[in-house]
Amino acid sequence: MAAALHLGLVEPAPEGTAAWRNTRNAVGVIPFGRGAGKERGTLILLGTGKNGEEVYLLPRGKEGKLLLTLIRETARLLGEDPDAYCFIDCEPYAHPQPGPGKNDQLFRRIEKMVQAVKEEVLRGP
Amino acid sequence: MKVIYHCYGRAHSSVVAAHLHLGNLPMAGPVSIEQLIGLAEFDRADSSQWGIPYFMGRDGQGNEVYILGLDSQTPAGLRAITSLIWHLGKKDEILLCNTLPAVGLLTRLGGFASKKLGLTTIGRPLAAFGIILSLDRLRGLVAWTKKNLSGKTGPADFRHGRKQVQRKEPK
Repeated sequence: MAAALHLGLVEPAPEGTAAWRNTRNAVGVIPFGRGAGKERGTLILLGTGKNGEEVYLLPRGKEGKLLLTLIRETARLLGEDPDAYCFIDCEPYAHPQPGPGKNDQLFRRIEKMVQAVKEEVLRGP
Repeated sequence: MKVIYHCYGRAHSSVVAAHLHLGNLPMAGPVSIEQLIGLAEFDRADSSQWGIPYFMGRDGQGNEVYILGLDSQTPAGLRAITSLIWHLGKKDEILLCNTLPAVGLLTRLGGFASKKLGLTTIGRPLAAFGIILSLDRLRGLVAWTKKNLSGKTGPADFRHGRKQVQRKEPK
């Protein structure tokens, strides 16, 4: 969902749009993978954002720390800049967090997160 | 080419394989427990170093040799590395070699005792003895890797210990 919003595959919904309508709009346009089973650890390229940033999916499973370290260090080994990789953990946004906005719908929470990520990408590392 | 020997904790089998590759341990003849325990990296790495390739040296052909611990996440870790190098278009730069299937239960027990239970005095020699029992298999693995490197057949030809299958061209 986050990657699809980032790439503009799903348009941000107007304030007050019902959850079921957001879900209905999203179904069919999101290139869902098979989840954290056979694809766990695989970087899946979904597309390129408006600012030229490549957007990937990474099904990480429960223990994701080692995979992130591994990807950063392998990139370094191959002469790439590890800081060019921005990993966003979407898991916390899938569950209501305490504090402001805790009652937001799932779609709205992810939308806000994607907006923040896009602004960060624009600012650069 | 970068050769990465990987195992569970990059403390035993991958260390020995890398030293065999680099010529610090002989490819024939006996090896003692003291020799193995005397290796700087043997039974030393901890979990904070997992996922980080550790440079061991360069072989005679100029290939860089690394060791890597992937915990119990070998399949996911390999998918992460291979998908990354594929996206970067550098698939001919890394050769991955899993050393874990080459060692037996004794090395695993020794490693568990040393690293998980903290019983280094018992675990370290036990792991070393297990390695000595598995030395032929490790030597075979290293020989196979070096043969593939000299043949420049690329990383996809030798993964998880599988041999390359030559496809016959139709006449």
